Amino acid sequence: MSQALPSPSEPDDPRVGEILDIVAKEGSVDRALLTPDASIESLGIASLDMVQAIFEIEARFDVEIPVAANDGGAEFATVGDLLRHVLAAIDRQAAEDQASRSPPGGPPA
Amino acid sequence: MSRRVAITGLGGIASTGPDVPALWQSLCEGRSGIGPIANIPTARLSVRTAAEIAGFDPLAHFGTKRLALLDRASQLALVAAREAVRSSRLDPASFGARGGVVVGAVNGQGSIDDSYRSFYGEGAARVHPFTIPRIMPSGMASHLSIEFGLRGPTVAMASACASSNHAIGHAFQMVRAGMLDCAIAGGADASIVVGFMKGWEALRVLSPDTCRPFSADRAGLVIGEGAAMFVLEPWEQALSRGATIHAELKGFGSSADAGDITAPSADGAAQAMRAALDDAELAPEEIGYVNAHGTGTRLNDRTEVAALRAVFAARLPGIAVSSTKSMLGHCMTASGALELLATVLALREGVLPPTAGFNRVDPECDIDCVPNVARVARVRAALSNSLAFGGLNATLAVCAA
Repeated sequence: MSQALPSPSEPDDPRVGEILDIVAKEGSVDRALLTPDASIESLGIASLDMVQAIFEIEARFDVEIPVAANDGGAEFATVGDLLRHVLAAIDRQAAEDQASRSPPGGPPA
Repeated sequence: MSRRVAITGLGGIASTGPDVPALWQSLCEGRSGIGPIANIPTARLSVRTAAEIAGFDPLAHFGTKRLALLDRASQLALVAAREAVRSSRLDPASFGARGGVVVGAVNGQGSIDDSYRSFYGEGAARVHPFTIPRIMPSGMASHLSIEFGLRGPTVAMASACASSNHAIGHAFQMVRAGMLDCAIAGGADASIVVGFMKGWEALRVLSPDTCRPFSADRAGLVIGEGAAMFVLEPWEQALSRGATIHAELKGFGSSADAGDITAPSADGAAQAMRAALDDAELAPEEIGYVNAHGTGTRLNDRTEVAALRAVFAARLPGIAVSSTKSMLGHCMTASGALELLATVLALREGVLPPTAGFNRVDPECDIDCVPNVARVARVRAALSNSLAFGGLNATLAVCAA
């Protein structure tokens, strides 16, 4: 995966920390192990724990995170994949909210 | 006492057809019933794909007073059972206490959803007075017993998506053991309702478009609805009355993973298959076809293939393994019954139904999955797997008559 999406290593994005806190808690893994390249499978995070983590992230950021089925059928191979996907969903939601508050064509007649 | 068990009645209804001939034709054509959801509001659904039965008219089958008591699952169960009983040419009522019913347990999902929506969502002061009899998970078993006058052991068995296989297995054991001379067994499920679909969405295992079991690009399962019912009776009785025997139900094996509540285990699945083979007194090399659980999720399919490798070892490449969920969707508690129907017809007709929607080989699922096109092949013995959430596995073994 190499999309031009927000970099998970962006140190000044406070959302990254919050997302990783949730993943560490729900996945019962050491927060320090959640590096962008770390494989979710090798971290031993069970699929149901990941489902729970995404649910918590959705609740925290009031966003719907769509299923991202990649070629292998796995949702996210690495922590970085998860972060990119989640941050993109949050940004998309924010843009939609923004657009619906101020329609690009000016105020409605 | 140990008697051979004949399958002498077949009935079915699902997205691709309202009866056994239509269903079989669709499976032979590799035609899928998966499509955009049309029977329920989809505005609040993220996944809007299912294998629904289109154009089912309950009033064509039931009077209004009877219908008020029937959840859609029970309606489908009765329609399938009527076809099965008709085709068996048996009068089940004549067996009295020697006749029984065993079906997969299912909540009346549509009735629950309607009731809760009207009460919570629309502020209704009261709900339909038959809500409880429509919802109860054994309601379908009772309706079958009432309709056909069966007075012996009658029960609904719950093991999530393996429920039908456990039910058919239990009925099989009772006929074999001499406890029943006529059994109606199978499953019916009608769970494509908004509340239930939201639950599946939240588990993040639903495919957004279609079901592609064993394909490298598979993206999850698709919920379906339907029913399949069987009439089981002792072999000698079937012979003596000149009945058409569609297949011999030969063995039943079940197991529990004792592991995860949703993730499957290859060991548990392999154990169920081995138990079914032992029960049927079949050697692995006698099996020519396996109707897989094959949900189309990444985890199920690769785990099931690992289990098949454990059981069949070097012989696996020579065994056809297909998933009819690729066409019928995952009919939840009824899936085992519909898949046994496909397996029985495959043996009877000498045609193996394909795995539809197959695009690319996944190295982890490198099996002969009969991709996309049905295959003419005479097979003597087959297995049908159900590997349910909660690690509850059930496999049926059948032989050509």
